[in-house]
Amino acid sequence: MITALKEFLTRPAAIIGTFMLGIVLVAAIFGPSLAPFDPYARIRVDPSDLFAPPDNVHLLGRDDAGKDIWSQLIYGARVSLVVGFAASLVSMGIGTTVGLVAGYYGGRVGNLLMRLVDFLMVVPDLPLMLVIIAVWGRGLFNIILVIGLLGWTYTARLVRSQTLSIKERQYILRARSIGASNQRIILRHILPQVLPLIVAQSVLDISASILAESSLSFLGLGDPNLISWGSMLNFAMDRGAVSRQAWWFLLPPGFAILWVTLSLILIGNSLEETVNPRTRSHHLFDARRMVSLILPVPQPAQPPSSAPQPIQDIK
Amino acid sequence: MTFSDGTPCTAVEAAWSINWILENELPAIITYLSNVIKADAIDATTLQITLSQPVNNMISAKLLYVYIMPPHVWQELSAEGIMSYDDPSVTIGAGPYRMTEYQPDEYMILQANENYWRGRPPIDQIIYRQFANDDALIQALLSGEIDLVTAGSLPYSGIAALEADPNIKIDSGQAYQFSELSVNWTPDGTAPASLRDPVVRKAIDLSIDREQIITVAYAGYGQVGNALIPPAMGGFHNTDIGEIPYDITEANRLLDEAGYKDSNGDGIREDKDGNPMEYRLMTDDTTAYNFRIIQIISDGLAQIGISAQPLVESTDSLIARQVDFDYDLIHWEWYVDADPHFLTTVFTCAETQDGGWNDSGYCDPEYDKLVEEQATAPTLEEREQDIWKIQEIVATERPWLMLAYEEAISAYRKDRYEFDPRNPIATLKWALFYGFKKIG
Amino acid sequence: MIRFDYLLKKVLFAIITLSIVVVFNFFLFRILPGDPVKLLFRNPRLTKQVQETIRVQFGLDKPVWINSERLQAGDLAGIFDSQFGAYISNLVQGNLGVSFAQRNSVNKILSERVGRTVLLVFTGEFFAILIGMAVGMVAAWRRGTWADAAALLIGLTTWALPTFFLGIILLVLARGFLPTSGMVEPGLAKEGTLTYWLDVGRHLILPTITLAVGSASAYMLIMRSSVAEVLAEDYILTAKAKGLTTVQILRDHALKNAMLPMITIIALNLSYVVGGAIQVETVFSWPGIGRLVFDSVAKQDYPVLQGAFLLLAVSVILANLITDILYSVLDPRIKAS
Repeated sequence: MITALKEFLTRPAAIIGTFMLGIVLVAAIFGPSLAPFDPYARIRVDPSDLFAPPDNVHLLGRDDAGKDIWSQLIYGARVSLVVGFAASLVSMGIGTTVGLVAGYYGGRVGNLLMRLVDFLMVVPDLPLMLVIIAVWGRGLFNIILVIGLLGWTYTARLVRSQTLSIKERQYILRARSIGASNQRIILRHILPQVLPLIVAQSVLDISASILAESSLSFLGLGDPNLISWGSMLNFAMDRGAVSRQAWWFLLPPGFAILWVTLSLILIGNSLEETVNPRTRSHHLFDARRMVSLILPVPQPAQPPSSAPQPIQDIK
Repeated sequence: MTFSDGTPCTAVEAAWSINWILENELPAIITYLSNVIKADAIDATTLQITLSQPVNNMISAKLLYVYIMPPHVWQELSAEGIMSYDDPSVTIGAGPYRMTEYQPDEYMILQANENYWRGRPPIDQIIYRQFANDDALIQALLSGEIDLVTAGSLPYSGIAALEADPNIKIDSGQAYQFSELSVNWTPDGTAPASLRDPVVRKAIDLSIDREQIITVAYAGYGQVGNALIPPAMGGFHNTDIGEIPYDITEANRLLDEAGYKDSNGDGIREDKDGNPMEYRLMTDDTTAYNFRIIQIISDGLAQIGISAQPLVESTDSLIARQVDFDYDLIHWEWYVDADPHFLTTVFTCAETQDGGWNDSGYCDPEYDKLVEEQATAPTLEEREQDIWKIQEIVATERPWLMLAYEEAISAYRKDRYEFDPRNPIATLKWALFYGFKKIG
Repeated sequence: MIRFDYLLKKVLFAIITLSIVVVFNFFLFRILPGDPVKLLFRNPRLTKQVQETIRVQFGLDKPVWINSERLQAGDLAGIFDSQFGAYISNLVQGNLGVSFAQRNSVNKILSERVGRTVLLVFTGEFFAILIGMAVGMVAAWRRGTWADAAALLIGLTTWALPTFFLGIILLVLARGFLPTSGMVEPGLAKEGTLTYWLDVGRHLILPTITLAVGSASAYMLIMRSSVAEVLAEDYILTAKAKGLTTVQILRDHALKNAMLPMITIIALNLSYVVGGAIQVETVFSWPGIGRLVFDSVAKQDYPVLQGAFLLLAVSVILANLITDILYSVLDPRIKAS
């Protein structure tokens, strides 16, 4: 573990990513004490305050309601990270469980689970999220849930393929022969083996979740009471920032999203390379998470759904 | 006088149209013909309409919205047939222009009617474009891609960019529109009982910073609201109802006096049953400034110890809530007829039933009587008096808290066109393309 | 010979997935809060009678899944006289229902718009694949050089960039030079003329760039890694020794071997492209399916949403099936045995 961490920290991408994420984390944790103004404070403005360009007091200018954009940017980090972490926690939980069950037990249940995964993989995510939020209603909790519930498929496939290969190893067979329960084997022997990969995958998931939250908020389906970078852009677009040429309202939230997703991708890929030796020889990072699942498989000819049938459990 | 296809358009066709609408009970338009029994053409220029009881706003509020249609096109069709009839070649009317092309949500093309009875209109072709994005609309006017933005279409958010351009002229004026905060106080609904207390409603009214709403949401183009009938309706607007002050101190005093105290010290007052005074404050998601409006209201309520989280929902789900009286406070924006009749009927008892317009649940037979009186009042003075009384009642009972009378704004390229200076808001009346001149 | 059972399995999977989508699509729109009829019209002044007529018209007076009343009466065929039965039978006849907001058939609304989205997605994907493959190949060939590093940096950044934000940046930059809204200037020219299509082309520039940049990074990264892998193989050395030029090697060996992962990634990326199309169509007011989905969410026009979602899901599933077939044609390992 420590050697892995050491190795991780020798990678420039990892160091840059960690540094970038660190800044966002600081903003998210200490936001209220760092921000010069409270963006949730009462609106009390003069006409000249609206869309005021940057000056000494308001470093990034003011928005359509005269609120300080720099402070909103700092507060927005919290929502983005909370949604990112919480949603990927949900998908990590579901994905790991499904992957372990499908990989270890196999059989009908495993097959059915993998069909569900295949189904969710072909259904276009964003329209589905839009529809579900439109039906469930806006709100932070719903957004986290919908992103989490739709984002676990890659984790599930990753965990399943790893479980399939691990469970055939000598020491697992030995543990089984001395009567270790399935639950114990999964929790004590398989999970610790897969965990590093799950963590790497989840870091990439966080960036995907943050992107999804910002898209939903931008499309006006976020919670307007919470300041997030996506909802800032939604307000900027709806309230005429483009015709006001208020670049200080349009650019900062977008670059903030870019900043945090980029940092997570750098960390996630470096982590994956560190913990998964098979990907080490090539591709510094993968494209949208799926590449690593297709490429490193020794026989790339078999597309995912026709992967080897799981061997029935020996009782 | 003829239709655009050259067939005659006289009192005969007008009478036919009215009778046809009555016979077929054409949805929506039929409501403008209530109390009409039949129409007869005495001769080509005289129309006689028979009513079941006197109607004092027949022309301004009723006939204005009833179409005169060419019988040779429509006589074969039933009301259902008309709903699905979409042949663009029969868009025949007697107006200055006729529609020749139409793409829903995108554009509509109008061509000059050569047979127009007041002479050929000055512009050959008008293309109405619908922009899905406000910024694109503003940009199109700035770049000269379009010449005119009609009233009601110009986003308040774009005004500042247009004001800065020397080639753009902005016209603004009072309009038949306003924004209000509906208070749900029917006992049948889900709203807390405290909203039924007139003192609470008054305190809420005093806590609203209306100037701030006009600055932030309407770019300064608006007047603070007080009476039910907007000032654009002239003599019907009750000028005796004074401006509602933004007075947090007085609002707090009223609540303290009425026994709404914050007994547990959490910053939120408790009502008489000990429940915290928390209301659901909603608006629809059609524009982003709606949210700013309820944010400002929420800020004001926080000052008087009432918690109201701003909530945004789609128009349809808000209407569904209104039908079930499942809300506390909803902000709505209204565009109404030029005649005050409809607005006065909103608070009648009948409108509380079956998803009517009366969203507060206010019901008083005395009020209903006044509404009937104004509809049949024989003189304008008497009608105005009735309508002033109605506004007084609404201002004291507060089923709606009137927030603002936003102005209608239009803008055009003054380097290309000019409008009749005698009618400075000509551009606001989109149908009147007279007094409209091309430069150069 | 393509392995027959492989194909059969693929087709079967596509059919099963389609059926799940169909059932799921119905279910999703039945768990809505509130009474659909109340949401039908903006005008809440509907008489009870009119409401009942609409309820019958849309089949909302029937039970949701199965008609147990008719079953108990011994009428076996009547079991499907339900909302679900009506939905399936309409679907089989290709009838997607009537839009709540536009009072027009969903088929008509979708068919008007589907071509525009296809145009946008195809042009966007065409350039994305072209750019992605070219840059990826060069990056792999010049691996470790500044060109490679620059390609990686740009690829990584555009990958992390939200599509809608890229659209906004282009919108601000191109204001005044290029049309930023719509598909064609209305009334400019008759549909089908050269002027018309040239104008469409001008309107297409910004949305295409946005969509293409978003997708290209994925293709670039996959191309780079698979070409790099091939270039490390021993037979490349042999080819070089035989005197083949770099261009020949790249074309004959590297490109050929990179095709398989490329095809897979293009299919898998499609679901992402659909999401990108919604954002692009929203930012640039492109009147396609994506914009329709966005508008219909705001209007709560459920029949349109249902139809659009079905259309999108079916397209993605079919595209995946086609890829699987292509895959088996291209990959010798599936053909043999």
